[in-house]
Amino acid sequence: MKYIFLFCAFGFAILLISFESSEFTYPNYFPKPVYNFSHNPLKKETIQLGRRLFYDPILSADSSISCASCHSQYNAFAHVDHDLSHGIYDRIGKRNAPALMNLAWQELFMWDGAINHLDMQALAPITHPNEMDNSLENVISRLRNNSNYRHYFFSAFNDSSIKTEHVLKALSQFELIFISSNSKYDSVKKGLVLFTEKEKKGYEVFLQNCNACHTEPLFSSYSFSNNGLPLDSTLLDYGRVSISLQSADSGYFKIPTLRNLRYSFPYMHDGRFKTLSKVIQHYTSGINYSLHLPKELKKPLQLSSEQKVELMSFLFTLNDSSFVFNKQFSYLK
Amino acid sequence: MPCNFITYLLPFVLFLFYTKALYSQAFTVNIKPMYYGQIIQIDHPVIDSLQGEQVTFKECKFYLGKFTLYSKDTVLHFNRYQLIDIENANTTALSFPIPSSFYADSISFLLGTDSVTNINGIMDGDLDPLNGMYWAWNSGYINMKIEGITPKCPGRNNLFQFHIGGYQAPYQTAQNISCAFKRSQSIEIQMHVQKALEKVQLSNEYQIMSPGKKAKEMSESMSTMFTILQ
Ligand code: HEC
Ligand code: HEC
Repeated sequence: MKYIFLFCAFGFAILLISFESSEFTYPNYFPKPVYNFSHNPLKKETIQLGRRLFYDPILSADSSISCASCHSQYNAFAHVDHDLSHGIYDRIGKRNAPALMNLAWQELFMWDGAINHLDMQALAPITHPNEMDNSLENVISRLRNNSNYRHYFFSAFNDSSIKTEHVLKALSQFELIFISSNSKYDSVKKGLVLFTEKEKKGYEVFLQNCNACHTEPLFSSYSFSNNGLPLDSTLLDYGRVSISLQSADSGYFKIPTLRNLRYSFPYMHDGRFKTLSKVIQHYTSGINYSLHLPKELKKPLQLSSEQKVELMSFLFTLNDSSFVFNKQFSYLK
Repeated sequence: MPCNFITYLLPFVLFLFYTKALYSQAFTVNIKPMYYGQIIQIDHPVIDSLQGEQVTFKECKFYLGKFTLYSKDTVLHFNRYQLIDIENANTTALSFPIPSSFYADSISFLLGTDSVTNINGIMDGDLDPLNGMYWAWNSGYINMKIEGITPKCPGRNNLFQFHIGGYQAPYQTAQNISCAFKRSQSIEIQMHVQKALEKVQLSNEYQIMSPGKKAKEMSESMSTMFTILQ
């Protein structure tokens, strides 16, 4: 009798563990996530709630836009074909909406690292800069007045009172499962396929010239750097320095991942490059050497036209179509 | 079986009652914001007795936390943060559970929030961003907020606004405060807000809205605001 009980308990525990991890799986060559899941344990109902919120324009003051308006799945959650993201009341923001993926591995968010925790990120788009402490109240009270949401919050948190904490944690949970790890590069890592000759040579070029900043397997070290972009005098965006207040950070921006570039154009913090070949051209002949550059880029990069093609074909192996078409991430009907 | 159960449980229950009785007393702290000796009330003008200018405070909110009470042989720590809002009398009367025989002779606390609180993600209650004390576009708590109107202030509608925060070196704004007093179970802490504004000239410096050198300087001025009345 006792054994049967123990056996059941054991089986149940296994079930729980596998259920937990089935929402959040990543390959063994990825580092450990930095997100602290013990403060916000993943749960199916909470992820679904986050998914509803992400696609619901109820979060914007005039109910016109949702998170997905600027972060669309088919663009790896970047903003489709906009250099500077359009905001509410059709304001044009200062920056390009970054692709959202593998967020559990990031410590700081936004191009300048202004946000220090994924849970806090959504406050920025939700609260309108001009009427800040008012609009969060509006969002919460609108959600509270919606009986469907009271029900969803209850199934997610056993609490239908709808608190800021729960809104933000639910959004985080949905975003945390945006894991991209099924590109051709990943299949090669997993030993399932091989690179072509061209891709292999491109991989070497990448390792030599790009990996120091766009570090595999996430293709970013998620630190801040300056890749020599000439300052756009209409935006005067100096990046990280405005947050860290350290002059050495002038012109530094968060290093973006190189996964899913096929879907996330245009590129750079201000979306100045529409194509990947423009980006490569920047690294070989567009860098402004009068800037305070990191040591990796101080020496001009010389690539033959063959090497450029090889590098591009390697970068194509980082596209993950299963990510942009994953039904778990799409609008919940 | 039931008999066993009770014999095991009874000491526990008694112990619970005992500890409860032990901490039946409270140490009370009343926070009283003043301006040149006058009690500050939101929307009621007070006078700057040095220059004779009238000042009307519109908002005065700040975090206090990490309270510690000391007696000769005991130290009691209280880990919570309280958002003090002058407009809301419930928030200016604090009470801490103590054993009945406990009399404190000094207190220490943090004016503002520590760096761990600023990077730990979302929290509820007094630390809920809904309280309007959180910077959404540059993560971190606003540790103290003082807003008001005075005729010589050149800002829009003569408004001055000081939102003081920042947890990153070298511009941390949380300040450790400690005060000694005669053995007691109740004190009044007066906050002399003119001290906070001492180093700025409201006629040219009327707005601080982000972390940095100026915010740090004002937080240092604020650390001299506190005196104890018994
Ligand atoms: C108006 C367009 C717009 C809307 C709406 C919007 N975002 Fe963004 N998002 C951006 C832009 C632009 C950035 C980069 C901002 C910066 O760097 O200053 C960004 C950055 C982010 C980041 C940081 C990514 C990184 O790698 O650092 C996350 C996460 C994010 N948004 C999630 C959301 C969520 C959740 C919502 C809905 C609550 C949302 N966004 C709504 C435009 C938008
Ligand atoms: C010294 C660090 C560093 C090195 C080396 C480096 N990059 Fe970058 N890269 C950055 C930074 C920083 C950005 C973001 C710049 C910005 O927007 O201001 C960036 C942006 C990019 C982007 C835009 C991605 C997006 O989503 O907008 C691409 C593509 C890119 N780099 C490719 C490369 C390639 C290919 C190489 C190697 C030839 C390379 N980088 C080498 C730091 C580096």
